[in-house]
Amino acid sequence: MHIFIKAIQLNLKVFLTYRKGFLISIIIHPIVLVLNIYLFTSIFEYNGTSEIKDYSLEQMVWYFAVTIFVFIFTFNFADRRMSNYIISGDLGPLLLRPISLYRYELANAIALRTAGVLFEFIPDMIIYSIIYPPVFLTLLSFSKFLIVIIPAFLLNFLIRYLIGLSAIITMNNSSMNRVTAVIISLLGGAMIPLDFFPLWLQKVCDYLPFKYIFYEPVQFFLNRGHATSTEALLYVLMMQFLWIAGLYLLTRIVWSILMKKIVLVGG
Amino acid sequence: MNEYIIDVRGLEKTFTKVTKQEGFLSSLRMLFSRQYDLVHSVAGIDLQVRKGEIRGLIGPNGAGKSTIIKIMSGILHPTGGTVDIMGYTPWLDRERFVRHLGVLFGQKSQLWWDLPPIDTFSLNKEMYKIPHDEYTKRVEYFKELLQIGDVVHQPVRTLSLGERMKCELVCALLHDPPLIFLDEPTIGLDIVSKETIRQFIKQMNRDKQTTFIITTHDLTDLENLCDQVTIINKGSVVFDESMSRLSTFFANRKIIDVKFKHAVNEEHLAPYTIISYTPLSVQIEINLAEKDIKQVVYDIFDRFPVLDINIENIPIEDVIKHIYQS
Amino acid sequence: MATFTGLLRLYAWHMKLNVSKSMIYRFDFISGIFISILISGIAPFMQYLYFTQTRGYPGWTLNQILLFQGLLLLWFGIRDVLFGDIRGLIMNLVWKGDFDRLLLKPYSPIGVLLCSGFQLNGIGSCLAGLLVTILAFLQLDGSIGLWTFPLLILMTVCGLMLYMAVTITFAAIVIMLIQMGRIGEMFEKIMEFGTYPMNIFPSGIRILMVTILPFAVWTYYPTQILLQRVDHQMWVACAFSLIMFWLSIKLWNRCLRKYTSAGG
Repeated sequence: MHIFIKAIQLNLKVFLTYRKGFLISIIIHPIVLVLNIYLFTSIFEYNGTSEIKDYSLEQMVWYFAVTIFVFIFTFNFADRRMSNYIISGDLGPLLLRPISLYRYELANAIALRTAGVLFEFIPDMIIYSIIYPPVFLTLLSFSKFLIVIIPAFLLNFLIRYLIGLSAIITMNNSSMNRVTAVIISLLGGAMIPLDFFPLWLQKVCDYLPFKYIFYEPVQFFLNRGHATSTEALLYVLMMQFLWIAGLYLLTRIVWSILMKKIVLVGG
Repeated sequence: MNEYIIDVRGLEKTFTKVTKQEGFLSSLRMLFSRQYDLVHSVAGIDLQVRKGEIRGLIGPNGAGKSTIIKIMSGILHPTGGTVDIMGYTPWLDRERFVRHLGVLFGQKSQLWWDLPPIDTFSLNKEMYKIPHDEYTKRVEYFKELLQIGDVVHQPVRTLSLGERMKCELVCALLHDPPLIFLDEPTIGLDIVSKETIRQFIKQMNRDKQTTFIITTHDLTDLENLCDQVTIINKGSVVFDESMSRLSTFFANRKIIDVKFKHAVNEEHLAPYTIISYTPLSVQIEINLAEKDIKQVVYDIFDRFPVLDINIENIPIEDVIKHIYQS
Repeated sequence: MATFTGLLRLYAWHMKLNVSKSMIYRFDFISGIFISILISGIAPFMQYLYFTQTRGYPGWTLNQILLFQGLLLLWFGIRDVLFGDIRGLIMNLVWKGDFDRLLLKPYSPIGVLLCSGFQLNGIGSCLAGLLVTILAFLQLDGSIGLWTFPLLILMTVCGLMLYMAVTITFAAIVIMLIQMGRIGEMFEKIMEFGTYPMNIFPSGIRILMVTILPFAVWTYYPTQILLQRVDHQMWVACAFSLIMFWLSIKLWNRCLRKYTSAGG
């Protein structure tokens, strides 16, 4: 547990020394919000409807804002870090540490996100609400969002960790990781609401874990459609935990293969 | 025409620096307000160098050496004082001035990592508009002198540190500058490479009357290369005389570094001047005017359980300390 | 003028070196191109979804917006081939303290920087953009007039000047402020306004986009030229691109002076 607290402290310190970066991020994020306000106001007006795909204008604009929040809560570099360890051959020395690499990386990711939530999510949430009030939001829907975002973080961490480990096979990191990152955000609903996809593609997404990172948490925040019910919350939580359990098992298996390989070829 | 190729007078440089405080709360406070300090990195320096000289510029870390080099190469503006190098004021005429200047930073590379050095050379040929015949002639000359005939056609990432440094040197010298700044040119190299680079510098100096300014932490570099040495400490010149004069401070002193197989009591080492001591190792300073080093070494081997023994020059920092004391 | 031709020759050399580097890592290079074509396809796909699932934006049909997307990809490709990741390069140089070394070159440091960005990898996005543009243009049954190509070339030149202006401004800010991880992000977000057709924005922003942030020269006006519906504001946007370039150079010189007197 100590390592987690220490890592969080260090990350906060680093964050504070870059105070200009902090101020800039407060400026950056509203830019996208403003852009989306114009874009969707224009689309909604031209369509002459108050709802598109059951999203009100406010919900549509906020969809993309909340996607950024999800990124703030879940983002990490585990894929890049792991594949770099493997390709550069630095993995050996790291194994000598008195803490497992998995836990070390997890601590790092948590620490990174704690700083992100404090210095990006909270100010962003306040500024966005002033610029474009989220009229649909209730305390309950906001709490539901906060509940599902934690397993979403774990899910995202496990997926990225696995992608990082995949460097054992591909022996390449940059381009492969770029593709997977794009696929995850597209099929997870981070680029466009999944409701816009053709039905067959929506079906495919139902059988993938990615929508439980982006799309579902956003739905709870937006307080729309099926996400208003308690059953939906329980269902999403169950799906998230099933995926987490499955992926965790997979990391153990891949890890033991990796260890065998390292023992055989000596790093 | 000035009799000196470099004529620096009354040079000053002051920086503002943020004061950092320890602890989490104070870093939180720094988010909103910061305190600044003035640091006098260079505090009134005079430096004159004649054409064809090899000048050593030494001093402890943070003494202001690199600030001076940066000002003399036009990268920094000074706060006060005048600089006249080959008739230029470096920071005002920078683009024209640097055509006549070669600079090598030992710890930084300008070679393209994935390509053979010869490609970077040809880029520099373009950059400095070197005529084709001249370029081929010089590359041949450098290849022979530095023994890098095959090396220049292999990708930089496959080269050894010494080979890379030689190629860096070529990059800095390809446009045939009459004045060259070398910052730690031999850092981290093996003895053979060091020697080749020293020979090369001497040869260039003889053949073309090239002037060199060298900063280094290696006393051997100074002994072998420099005619004149300037020592800088805390932004001021503390010594500016010939190499032979500097040698009197250290040439007749050596350090013997001994490791023991098992613990030795400090009292038994009493006759020697001890610099540092632990039960398993000791550093002894020998004044060659008083003692014969061979005799001392025999003596140590006779009397103590020696595991390993090394004879070294005294470190540059100690030389500076000696100068202070005298 | 002599400096300019000198810089052009320097640029040509950087190009040569980058191509030979790409050929050393041939496999990475080719797989990288395939991947960038693949990723490039996503933006047109998303526009396709918007337009098939809603009525789209006022004043644009699906094929017209695909033409816009094609030209946008083509512009990204041209930009990446010619300048690559210069902003990343600048950040790196300043961060590692290597920027000083640029000052030892016998050229303006910003000139050397702008000349060192060539990246063959951008060709993937160029190819994808060209493909989408041609397909959309054929679907639209568009016609090419006498002035179409001269105008497109003019827009490209103005667009490149503007992009250089953005890069120079970025560099000026970076050498002033040093440790600025996120400033690149800010530039990216602001430039994102250029990736949508200008007429979806309210008039205030539209005026911005032909004056002090004339991003309209990048994709909007080239599309309008191909659709033969240009307006006079196009010339304003062109003029402002050149003005912005000139202003950015002024800013750079001022920041560089400050940098060299303060000392990194």
